[in-house]
Amino acid sequence: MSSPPASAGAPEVSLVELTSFEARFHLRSPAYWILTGLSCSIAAATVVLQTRGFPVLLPGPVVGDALRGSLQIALPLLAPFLVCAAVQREERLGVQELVLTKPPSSQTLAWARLLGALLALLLTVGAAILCGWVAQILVFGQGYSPAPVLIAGLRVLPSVLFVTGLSFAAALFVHTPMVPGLVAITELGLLTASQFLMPVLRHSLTQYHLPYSLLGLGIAALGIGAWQRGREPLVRLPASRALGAALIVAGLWTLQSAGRQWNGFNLMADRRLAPFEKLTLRRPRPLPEAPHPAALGPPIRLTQWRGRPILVAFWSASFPYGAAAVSALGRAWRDTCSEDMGFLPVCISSDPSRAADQARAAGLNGPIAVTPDWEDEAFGLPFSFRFETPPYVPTAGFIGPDGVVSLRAPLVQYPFMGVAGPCHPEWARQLYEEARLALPRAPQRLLEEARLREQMAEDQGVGR
Amino acid sequence: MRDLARYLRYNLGILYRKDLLLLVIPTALVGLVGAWTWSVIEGDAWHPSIAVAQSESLGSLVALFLFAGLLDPETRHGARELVFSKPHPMGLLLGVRMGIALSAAGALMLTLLLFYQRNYGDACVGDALRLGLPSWLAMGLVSFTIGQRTRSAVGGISASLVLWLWLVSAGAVFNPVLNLVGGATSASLPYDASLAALLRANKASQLLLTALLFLMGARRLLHNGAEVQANSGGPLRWLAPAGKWLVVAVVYLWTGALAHYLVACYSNPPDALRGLDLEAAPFGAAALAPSNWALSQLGDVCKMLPMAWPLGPGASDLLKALGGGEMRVGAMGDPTELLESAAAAPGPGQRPARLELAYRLAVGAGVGPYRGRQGASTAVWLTIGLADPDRWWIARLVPGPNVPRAEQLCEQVLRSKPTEAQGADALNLLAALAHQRWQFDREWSLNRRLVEQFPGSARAGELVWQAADGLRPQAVAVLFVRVAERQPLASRLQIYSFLARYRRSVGDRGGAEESQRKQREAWEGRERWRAAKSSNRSSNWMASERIGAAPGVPMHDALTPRAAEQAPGPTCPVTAAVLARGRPIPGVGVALFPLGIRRSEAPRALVNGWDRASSSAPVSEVPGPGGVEGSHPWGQAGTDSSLSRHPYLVAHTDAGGIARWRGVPAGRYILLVRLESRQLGDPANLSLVPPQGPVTVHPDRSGQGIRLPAIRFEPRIRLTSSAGPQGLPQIRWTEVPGAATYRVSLRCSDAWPLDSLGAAIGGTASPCLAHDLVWWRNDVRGPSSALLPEGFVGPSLDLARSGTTEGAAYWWCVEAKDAAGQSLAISEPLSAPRPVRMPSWQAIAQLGKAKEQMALREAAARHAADSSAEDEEREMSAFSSPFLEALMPPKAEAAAPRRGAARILKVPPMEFPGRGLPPRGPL
Repeated sequence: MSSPPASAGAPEVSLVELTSFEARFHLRSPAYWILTGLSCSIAAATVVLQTRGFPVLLPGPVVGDALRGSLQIALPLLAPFLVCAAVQREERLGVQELVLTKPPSSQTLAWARLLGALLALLLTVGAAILCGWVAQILVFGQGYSPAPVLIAGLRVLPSVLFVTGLSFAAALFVHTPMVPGLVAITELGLLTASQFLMPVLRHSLTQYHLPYSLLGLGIAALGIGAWQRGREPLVRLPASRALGAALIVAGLWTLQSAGRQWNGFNLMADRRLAPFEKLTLRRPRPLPEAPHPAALGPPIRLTQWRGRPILVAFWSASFPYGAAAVSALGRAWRDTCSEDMGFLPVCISSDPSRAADQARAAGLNGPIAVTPDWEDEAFGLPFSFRFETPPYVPTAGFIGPDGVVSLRAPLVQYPFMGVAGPCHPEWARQLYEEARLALPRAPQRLLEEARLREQMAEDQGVGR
Repeated sequence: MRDLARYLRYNLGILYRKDLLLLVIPTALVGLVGAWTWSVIEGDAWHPSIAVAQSESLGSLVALFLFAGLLDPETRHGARELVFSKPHPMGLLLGVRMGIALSAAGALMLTLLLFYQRNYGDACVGDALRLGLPSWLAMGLVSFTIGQRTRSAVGGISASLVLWLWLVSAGAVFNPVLNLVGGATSASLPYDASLAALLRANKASQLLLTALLFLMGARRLLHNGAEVQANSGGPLRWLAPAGKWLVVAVVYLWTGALAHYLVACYSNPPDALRGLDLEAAPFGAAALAPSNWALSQLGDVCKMLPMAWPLGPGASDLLKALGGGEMRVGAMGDPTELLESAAAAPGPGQRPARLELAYRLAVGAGVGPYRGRQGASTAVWLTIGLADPDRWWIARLVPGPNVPRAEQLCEQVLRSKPTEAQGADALNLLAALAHQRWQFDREWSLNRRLVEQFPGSARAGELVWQAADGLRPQAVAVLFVRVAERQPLASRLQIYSFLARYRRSVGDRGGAEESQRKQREAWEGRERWRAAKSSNRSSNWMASERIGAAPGVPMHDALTPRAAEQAPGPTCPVTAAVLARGRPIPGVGVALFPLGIRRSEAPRALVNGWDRASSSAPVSEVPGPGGVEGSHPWGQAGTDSSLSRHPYLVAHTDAGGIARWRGVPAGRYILLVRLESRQLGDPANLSLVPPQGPVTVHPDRSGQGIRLPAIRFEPRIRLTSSAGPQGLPQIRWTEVPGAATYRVSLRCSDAWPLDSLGAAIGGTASPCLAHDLVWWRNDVRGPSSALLPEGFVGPSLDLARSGTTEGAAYWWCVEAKDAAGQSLAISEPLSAPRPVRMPSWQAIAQLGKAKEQMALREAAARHAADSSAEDEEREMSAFSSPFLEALMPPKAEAAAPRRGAARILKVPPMEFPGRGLPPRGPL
């Protein structure tokens, strides 16, 4: 911190050149290749492990989501090592004074180091995606779909950016090899705190990607500014510090905005879902007028199917195989009884974008309602349907034309996996055929039941 | 000493005073893991091996963090050159700092283990620390070395973290010697000598690695990190390190495979052995001998590794023969030839190879019914049933290709000091073969030998109850204790529980109390740790605990009595000769099977005869051979089991071909004969001579015994099939001297709906018992007969029995009878009969009138309508989706007639000509 400022008059190296140098430095490091090799192995293993015992799968929703889950755990744990090694390079080589007294400026040097590390990590993610693709081609042959893997891989980047910024700032000031451990424990702490119904602390949720990216960059910029201030005391307000403050403000603002939009501060207070919790198994109620939050498409109003029964199909984003089953049901509904009955796919997930990714990959293109994931309580429609645990098996039910919910039952059975087996294409086809046979019977039956309930209510009124 | 203390304090200050995080992070890790364990694992689910696992894995993770920056402070503070350039004992510096880091890691782990000890009661603190120490040192030195090489503690942590992740997860599978959690693996898996040796090798390798890395580190420090690095500057500069790492990876995998191979050759695999039922042998498995299953799995993974160089060619041949199932084995070469080669080559794989070869030669692709694929010259085990002229049968089972050689190989294995599992496998096979030959005495003595010689095997735990029968109480106790001490916990509890009751019942109160104490010690957990380690089979402590605790576990109340060698009540000695072409056959098993036996114990063919006699159902609906119970038609396991409970009913022929029963209770019996086809010499040209009737044994007052009529195998009647004058198939045969009439019959493979080909060829029977009977004719006078329509069994709706079908396999059978109706000879060979082909011919339907033909068509249409309705209903009830199935109407509703549906024509049952079954007198 007390090093003299960079000597004036020396030729300044541009940020781009320095960033390029840093990135190339990483590419020459064995540690970087260990990190990249591990990420690629994880990506390939994730794809291959999906096939254990199941020769044919639906590759779309399963592989992409699984890849995202694996990389989201591995990369934020591994990235701090790379960043810390880069920051503490001169220090561990004992040439700190020698290098830092030369141009370029401290600020340029630090930014180049950060951007170089980010560039290297971007290449690592790209390599992991490529490995996922290759594994998919080898496993699935012609039947693979590349888009879910690409999207899933890119979704990991914001988390990596946040962790990188955090690690970078810590490594600038904490001169110890324990910085990666410190970051890992910070992440574990955030994860633990988020379990208490505070999903806003989960930087891996897609809706918080932008805020946490801004926060990560802001923390890194603040760190750079402080470091520059320490090295160049004459600079009163380093640009990086101002930029960092601005980024943090922007990050916090977008965070609260995203949190408010999706009630990420506390799941208990999601008022938009409250009207949907009033539907019951017996008593008729008018359908709620309020729009239901949607993961894909505009908010959904149940009243658009007024006078008709609604087929509701749930799946949990934690068990993405259900999306394929719900998709098969949706196709059968469209082919047989879309005029007589409504269809509402509901994904139970705290991450609407992840739900949308799964739905798209499974071929569900219509509006997808989404309700938050929970630990002990159900919110919104799942509450009305009396779910006690997240449905690891996709489950369907009906909302009658009079607002009575009925017939909640598993949509498929997974005899082999028991918990969360992948949806076999043959099963999806069979489910479609069965649904084509069974669904046309449902509207008439539900209408008759509603009429019967109405008649009983009238009889009771007359009796009184 | 003061200098040393000052030196220690100085180093302690350098390491931790200015970098508190160095201690905080590992402490936080240990705290998190401890809190997680405490909140997740309930007291009942706790097992001491968890403490060992955490000591090894978490302790090495902590060491990894603490060791990475041992010499980092000087570097960080820019004092490296200054400090290290001074004359200084580098080994001492490194040793002291390692000691400090090791003490810190040890203190953290000790705190954690004491916490577990306090909360769970048993954390095996001493064992956990002792087993964990080599892992901490190895991982710590790896981290330190990488940190020094990369001149970055972060690099050291990150690279060794990756290595740590590998070693505690998949690495344990690939190389058990370098497994970081070897102690926990050994503690949680069943104990045997090979695993104990593996644990020693595991810890020794970790200490060796530690010493090596320490010397390297000290030497490097001595030279102040000055290394001459060859840097060619070109792109090829990566080749040398890449090649070096490739060699390291290959050596790692290869040594892992080597360790696995040695463990598999010398280990006692858990749950490997059950009683061997030859008729239900694991067909087509990669390894037939249960003790070779681990080798089979290893061969599946690494049969391509060069094992021949260190272990001889036998190892690679053995792995190729066992690995990868039959398909891939075929690609690698003939497994029998590979096993022959491996069995001849000395080395650790010789015994497993001999054992596997023995199983392959005795069991082959599975002892099963003769199916015609093997060829008429194939050796078969024949079981012949002889009741009366209308009730006889032949069941054929195909054993492996060379049973005598298999027995020789088993003896060789037993002479070569096998492991418990291998010895038990060999004796088990010998006992199964003795059982197959009805040599129940030999089977019993082999089982007893198994218990006495290999008490640690799983089979010994099952057989000890019957092996102890006949011993004096003291000898019983000694045998039981010997077996119990080597058995897994669940079996041990059962044995001690029984032993306590047994000793009390024979008046040995002291012994009973001792057994109870042993049982209590094992059960109440005072010896949990030792019991888990000494458990041979219980790989899951909790599972064992549940077995012991479950109230429904069958507990033995008494010793299993050995089957009585003497019949109860008054008996009579009986003799019978067994002759083939008039010459005696030695070594044939002959049994007198009582007719008054329970249905469930009777031979299946006889049961089928009863069913046929009492049933009024059409012939196609009567259950066929094996239809009552059992895995395949003509299976003999039930018969063998019944006879093993009454061994006094079985006798074996001596050199003069005479079977002698010492005492047979009075009663009526049928004769059963068990022999191998090679004993007959020419089974294809021999056939049995049906007996006059059941054997009656009455109390013998003269004391000379009863001499039964000889069981004869005579040349069979020769058959020639051809086309007759009207195009009808015709059969001709050689005349039998003294024959007054003949009964001719035809059987068909399609006439029996189950495993038709196996039923028809794997066993045959007289027309009165045969379920594949299509046509028959009695009282034929001449040496030929045409296939006349009136001989078909019918009715016409049974298409298989009312005509012939092109493509189906048929068998003729001719029986010659004298004027008194006694059978003289038959055409059925003892080996498989040769099938003939027939043209398609609907014999009975051709005789029908137009109205009958119309009714037949209508019935067929009705059947088709019923089938489609059934199909629709089946389709509706076979919904895979519970939700969608709930939308469908109930079945009763679905079955209600729909408005406007076509009415099904009700056709009355039609009677068509047909002979039905041949007549048969009572038994």
